[in-house]
Amino acid sequence: MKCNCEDIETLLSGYLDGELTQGDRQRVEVIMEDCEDCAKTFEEMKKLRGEIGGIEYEHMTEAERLKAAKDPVAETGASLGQILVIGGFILFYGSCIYLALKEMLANPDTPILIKIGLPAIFLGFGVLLTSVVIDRIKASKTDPYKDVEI
Amino acid sequence: MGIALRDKMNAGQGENAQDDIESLSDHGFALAIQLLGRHEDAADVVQDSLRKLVHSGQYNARRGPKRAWFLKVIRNGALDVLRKRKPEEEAAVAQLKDDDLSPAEAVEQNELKHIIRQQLGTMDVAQREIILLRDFHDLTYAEIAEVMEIRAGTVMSRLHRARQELRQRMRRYL
Ligand SMILES: [Zn+2]
Repeated sequence: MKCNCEDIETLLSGYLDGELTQGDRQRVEVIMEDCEDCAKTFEEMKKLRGEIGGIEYEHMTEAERLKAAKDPVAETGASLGQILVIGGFILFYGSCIYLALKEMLANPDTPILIKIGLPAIFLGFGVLLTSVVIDRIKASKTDPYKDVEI
Repeated sequence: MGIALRDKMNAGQGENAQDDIESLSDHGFALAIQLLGRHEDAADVVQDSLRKLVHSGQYNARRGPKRAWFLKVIRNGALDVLRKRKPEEEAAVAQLKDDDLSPAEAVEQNELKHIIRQQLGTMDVAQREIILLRDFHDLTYAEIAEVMEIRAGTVMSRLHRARQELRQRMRRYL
């Protein structure tokens, strides 16, 4: 009986993958003993399959891996918490300083140098704090992994 | 400061060692780069897919092996990226595929694998992916049907057609 190679090819593919029914499997085994062309096709398929399994594709970089495994929602929650805490501190200490200064400046007995010096110290402290906070915000907005490896 | 997704994933996991986040990410990334050809795009798809799954609670709710299911999510993400690509971007990626291996890599990897990879890269996405899902990712026909959302009965013939195409292209090297 002449082999109808083209029709058999699909079965060869299924045979290679171990996805045939027992009946079809036996059919393929018989055919491959009889038909050289089918046997050759099968060998080519098998070779390609083996090679494909061993192709090296790129991997994620360590930085990408870390980034992918980070949880953005938890992060947003955490930074919201940070903002509330920092904001609360500023309001609280700001009010205290304001009240203390108001008292002192209103008092005619306070020496003039203290009237000028103390507000200057608090103002300077405020400026420093603000610049530190701005730096932190800038740093957290730029991607921390950007410079690691691309 | 970030709370690792891994911690959330561990709760619902255990029975399958290959379903941990590293292993899933690796397989997912491989499929994404096989479909997209561009490293950054593939990394974005993996990141999006992980987040989507963990935040929707699907990861922990899922019973049984997760790999095929995760690959399906990756695939859908990758196909979205492909759909949004402009023609000129596609051309740039095709250019990239042509010389995607550094000379050192090409030598290290044997020549035949290199050629197969190049040929796969220029094949139709649907044909490329079915071959890789089977031969690279080692999925069963049932799993392939799940990932590609096609009927299980059509996997064998589709796969065969794709292999036939690849075999034609590789004929002179075999
Ligand atoms: Zn034959």
